[in-house]
Amino acid sequence: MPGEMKLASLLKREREALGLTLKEVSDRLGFSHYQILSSMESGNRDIKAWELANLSRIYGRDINYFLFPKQQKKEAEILWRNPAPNSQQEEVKKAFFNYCEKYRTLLKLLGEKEVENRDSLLLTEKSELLKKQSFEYVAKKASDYLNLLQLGVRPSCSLAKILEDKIGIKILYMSLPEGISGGSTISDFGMAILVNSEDAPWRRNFDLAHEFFHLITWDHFPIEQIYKKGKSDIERLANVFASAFLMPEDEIRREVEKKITSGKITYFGLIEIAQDFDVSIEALLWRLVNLDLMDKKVAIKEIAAGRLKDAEKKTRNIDIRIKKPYLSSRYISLAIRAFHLGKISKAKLAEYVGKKYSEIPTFLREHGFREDEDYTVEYSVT
Amino acid sequence: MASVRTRIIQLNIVLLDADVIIDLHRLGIWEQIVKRNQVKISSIILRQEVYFYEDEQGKRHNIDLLKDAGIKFQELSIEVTIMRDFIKQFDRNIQEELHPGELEALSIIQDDKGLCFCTSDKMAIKALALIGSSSQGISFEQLLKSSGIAKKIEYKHTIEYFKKSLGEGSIMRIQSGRIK
Repeated sequence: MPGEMKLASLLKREREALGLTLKEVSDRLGFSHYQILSSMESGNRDIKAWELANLSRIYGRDINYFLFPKQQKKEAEILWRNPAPNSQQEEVKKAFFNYCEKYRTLLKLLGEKEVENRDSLLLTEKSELLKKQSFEYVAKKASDYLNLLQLGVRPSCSLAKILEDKIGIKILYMSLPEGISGGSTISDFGMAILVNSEDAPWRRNFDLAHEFFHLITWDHFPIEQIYKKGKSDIERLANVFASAFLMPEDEIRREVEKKITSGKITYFGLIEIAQDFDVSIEALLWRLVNLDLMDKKVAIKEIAAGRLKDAEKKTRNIDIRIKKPYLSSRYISLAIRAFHLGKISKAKLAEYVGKKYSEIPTFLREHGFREDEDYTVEYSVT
Repeated sequence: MASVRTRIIQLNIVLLDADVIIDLHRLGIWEQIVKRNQVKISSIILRQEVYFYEDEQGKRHNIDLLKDAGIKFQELSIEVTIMRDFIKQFDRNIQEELHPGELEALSIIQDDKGLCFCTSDKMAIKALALIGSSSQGISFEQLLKSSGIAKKIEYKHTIEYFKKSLGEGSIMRIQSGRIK
């Protein structure tokens, strides 16, 4: 049967793409011999629904991907922060894309509008980005975007929420294996950013701002250009943008001014400013250099010595211990709402939020909901 | 001569959803139910969903069902082609709303008119009505009653909740053009 042969070859392709052997997958499925799987992949054995459901889990795909294979189009790419090839990168990419698709589905099931209007966000003047003085241009643009998005004087406080709720960028926090960075992408499901939930909060803020720059300049620079050996100019531009975006010039000058005594700022003063803007000490030092508030050599020396970084780690330890983000609060909220309104089943909710079925009652309680309460009540508003 | 009181208990041939299995264990009445009914469980629910339950304090209590498959209950599975044909009857939303375990269970129910489906999941109950199998649905409360068991149960397990959800599913079947 052509449909079944297609499924068989798709299963083989998925396994091979993940670098898994027949034996490894068979063991995970609980098969007594790898030949059972081999027969499935060659189309010589009927596949049970439960076997396909388990294989889908192992391969990080939705079961519908195998049940109704679409015309294979070129899969979207992630612009990784750290493009170094890693054997787990493919798995992370699949999981990320899977959640992005689910995010879009939840919006659709709940009748929520996709708020994203990418065209109005795009940074149009590519020629300016290629000029020698592009750093100044990008810093100026960061300030324009701050105003456009109404992020206020401490942008870190509301950055993730504004990008998600107001712009409609899908932000997903996932615990990424060592060596795998976050990244961004634009695909059928819209704009999306992947952030490593293991990173410190101030690092995550910087990553968000950095990736936001890539999204607004997505059409201007092909991924290969950004991946050019070493840190490309575009990556540097993204860092300049993130720095100016999270640390508005006027505000930084004001705070530094307040803390200067006899032309000097103390060690504690710097850490307090970094905490105030929720950025790393290193990012703050570079921002001070760019604003001519600190000598470049002093900053480089300090960063190399690592003293401030050590102090930062100790004093901000409490922030790291704060509960790490999981997926995204908006995504979780959409999934819980869909469940309570009877738009998705409980087992589907478990799939959407990446939990085991039996963990759902506890998961709901942790988010302030009870499985047995009726949340379908509606109120009239005038 | 001592009189013997007997109660007629209706034997259900019933396919159980994950939620029902878990709460039967939580309430400590699993053994009674499998003794008094012909219990069946679909493979995906058996193999992917029911491993443990957590109490109010978050403590895990393991459920090892696989050891009893074929002894205390029967495992039912379908082939991928059957599942695909079942899904094809509906619009694409059904794939987003229901888990493969529920799709497998509903596919079995549609194929075997002698089988009841016991679930407390709103979307699964709605889907039962959507496939035109409302009469094959049975609530947790009904299952307990027909097995002669009285227990305090949550609202989602009541006949009232089941009927209300079936009603929503029937409207979906009539109005929304979900069936191709």
